[in-house]
Amino acid sequence: MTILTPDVLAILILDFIFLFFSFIALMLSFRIVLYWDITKSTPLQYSLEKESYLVATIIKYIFVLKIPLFLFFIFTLDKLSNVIPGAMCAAGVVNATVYGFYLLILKIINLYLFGFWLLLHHFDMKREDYPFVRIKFWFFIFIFFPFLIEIILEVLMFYNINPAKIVSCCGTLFSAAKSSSISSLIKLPHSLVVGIFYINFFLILLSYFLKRDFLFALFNLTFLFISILSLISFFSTYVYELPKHHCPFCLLQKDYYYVGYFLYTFLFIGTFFGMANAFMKIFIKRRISIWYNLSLIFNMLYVILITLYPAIYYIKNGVWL
Amino acid sequence: MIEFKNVTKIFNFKMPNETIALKDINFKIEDNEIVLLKGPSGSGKSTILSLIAALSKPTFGEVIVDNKRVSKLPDNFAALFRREHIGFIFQKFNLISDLSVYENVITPLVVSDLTKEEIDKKAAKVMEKFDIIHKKNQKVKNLSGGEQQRCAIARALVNDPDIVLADEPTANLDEQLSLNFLKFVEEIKSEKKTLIISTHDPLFFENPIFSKIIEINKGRLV
Repeated sequence: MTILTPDVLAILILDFIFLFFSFIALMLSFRIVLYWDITKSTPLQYSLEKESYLVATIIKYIFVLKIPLFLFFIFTLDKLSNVIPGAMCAAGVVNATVYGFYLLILKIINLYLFGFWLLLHHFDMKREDYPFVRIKFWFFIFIFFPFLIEIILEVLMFYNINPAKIVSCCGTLFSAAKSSSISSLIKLPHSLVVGIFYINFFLILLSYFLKRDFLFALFNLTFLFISILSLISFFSTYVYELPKHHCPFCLLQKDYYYVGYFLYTFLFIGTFFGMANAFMKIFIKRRISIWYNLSLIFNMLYVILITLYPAIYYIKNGVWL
Repeated sequence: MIEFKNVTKIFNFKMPNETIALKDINFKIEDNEIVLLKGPSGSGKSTILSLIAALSKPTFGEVIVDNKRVSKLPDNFAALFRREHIGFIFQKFNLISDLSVYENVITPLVVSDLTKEEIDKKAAKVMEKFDIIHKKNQKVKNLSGGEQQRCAIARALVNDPDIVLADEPTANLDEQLSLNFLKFVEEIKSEKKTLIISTHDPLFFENPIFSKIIEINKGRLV
């Protein structure tokens, strides 16, 4: 039995539209990377110049739409938890099939890849000599495959969700009592995880002030992982004010003022711009200061917001969970 | 300087209804020249103007304007190039009849980064120069032919372009208005701009104001 709510249908229809256009873009991208020669003034080159503009616009709009659609996807999963027996939040829906977890990870990776492509495109369009056309379309060809896999996984996931089958709730999935990789992460000493989290943020600050671009990117990458880890193992319990509740999805619910959307948005934007600098420096050979500032501001917002929960809890109750 | 290097323009290239509009065109126009582009209807004059303005791209060859390969410009840069460097005077003027003179004149500046005050200042300057400022709030459809002509020229010059392209500017005008247009050509010349007038109107043919005549027939230079 398949679950087809209006939200799921909207996602699937958009997937097919995106797939159709991205497939055309892929075919034309191959043509562009193979035959592009800006020094020539031949009919082929002129037609490639026109096509590159059109194809890049198609890709741009697909990727630009995919970014807010990620939030819609999460919102849909959360909504589906109301109709799937056993599921209390999006975690249950993700785990309702074998595809959910991989899909979620791939969606996050793709978000970064789409963002990097958009930045590359942005800089290509700012110059009249098409400096990054080849790189941009090679990069799209590379991204197309994770993008395709994402769509396949998405279809498989929604197709295989059985609303009659009882799934595990997040309390079970993110429990220290289980013998899974998640539970072993939860069992890590809190002081160690939280310590690494704040040290990592300090290293980001240090590399920011020392202007070490590649270190800044590296620390942002590690910050992404350690933030999610520390959120699951430590900070989430203070958001819920429940010592055994570690779910990273319940944060997205109304009961917690949708704080998860803010937290994840801050974290993803902060780390994205942190890594984008190193990525773009390879091509444009210069530092974009505003990205460093954006990265730092969003990472800092994340750190402040997530720190407030245990801090306020401690001030109110005088004990740690 | 405007330079055409081996420019060929074929519409519907490699299609059954393929049409050769220009064939292997080479010429140079220096800065501040007043050029007459003459030839019969369908000879390729308008195609040359559209290539200079980066409105279309050649099929072969290159168009270079002020050392910029305009035929290679991406669409967004082509629009920017036109906005900054090109003024266009069209056959039948192509004014928007339901807008006022002022609104028509500022059309090329609407998408610029200029403030309202700067736009007003530029518009007032050209409207005054071409003696149309007293009609600035009147709708274009209520103007006489001569006033519409002055409005069209003001619009072409409001962005202070280096190059002014006029495509059959007197095709639908009576003799008096055509002679008026020649007066405007003198004024444009005094502003040190490159002006290219495409026409098959004999009124222009013997006029000494033109520093160069490019004749074209069936897509080839004569």
